[in-house]
Amino acid sequence: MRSILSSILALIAIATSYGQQARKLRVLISVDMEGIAGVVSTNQLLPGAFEYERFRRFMTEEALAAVQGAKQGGATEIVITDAHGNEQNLLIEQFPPDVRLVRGEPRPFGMMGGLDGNFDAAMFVGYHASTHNVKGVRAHTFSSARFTRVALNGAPVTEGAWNAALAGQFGVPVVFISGDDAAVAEVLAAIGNIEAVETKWTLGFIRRKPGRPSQRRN
Amino acid sequence: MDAGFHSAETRTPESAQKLIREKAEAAIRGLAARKPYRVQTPVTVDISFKSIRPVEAACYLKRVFARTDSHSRRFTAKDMEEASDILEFLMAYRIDLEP
Repeated sequence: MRSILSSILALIAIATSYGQQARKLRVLISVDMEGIAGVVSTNQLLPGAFEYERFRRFMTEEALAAVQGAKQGGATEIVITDAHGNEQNLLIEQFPPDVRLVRGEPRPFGMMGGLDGNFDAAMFVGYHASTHNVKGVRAHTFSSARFTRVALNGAPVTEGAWNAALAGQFGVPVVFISGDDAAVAEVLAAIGNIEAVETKWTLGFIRRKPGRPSQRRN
Repeated sequence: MDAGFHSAETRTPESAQKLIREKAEAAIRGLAARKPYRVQTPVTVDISFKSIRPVEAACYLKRVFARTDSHSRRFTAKDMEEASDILEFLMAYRIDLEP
């Protein structure tokens, strides 16, 4: 009798352990700054500029919103990778203790620092358009100071599409992007329809279409 | 007009964060329908530089970088991981790096 009971308990323990493993869902969130709501110039983007400290807080809060949403959706492990400038912008004390952060540069995989094949999904927060895009806010590809064009397999590439291709090599799908309208449009055109939030709209784009954004968009 | 590099009509932080929270949740709930984005390998990468000196310096690595015009170099990598490594080197390296 005792051995039967022991066997049943062992089976329950194995089943519970398997269930816990099956429920693990790991998400990498790459956070840039140019696509954060309100950012329009270096006044918000560069350490020492008069609005940088406010906007690194907004950057942190948008990253936190992604963390909260991902957890609500079922994510169990989250790694945030700081992907702007010196990659030391996010206010790490604002994040919950079960989140890990990647910061500092240079580092392997750059904006996707920390990436490996153990993630189930990747998200992009605060992304911007590529350097060849005439509509994007602070549009550039990897280095606004050094590069005027980056192309992948013959086609101009945005940071989002490059990073999605890098994640794709490890079998990790990108499932979400936020940023300005041009950045979102570029990534969706490259990798297909994913969940997206337009944080702002370039004025050049708006002027070519009737109506204000508030009348055209959710 | 294509002039939006330094201007935008923007959501407030609170509005953006609310939407991000909602859409990030939906993204994870819809994960099963998403596929990794894969590109053809080996990959070819073209980079155009603002300045001429990095383009000229790369001539010493002619087995890696081909010159495609006055300000541009091309390299081929076996996959995105190798392409990322080369790109990171291009952005990080300077002879006077310290410490």
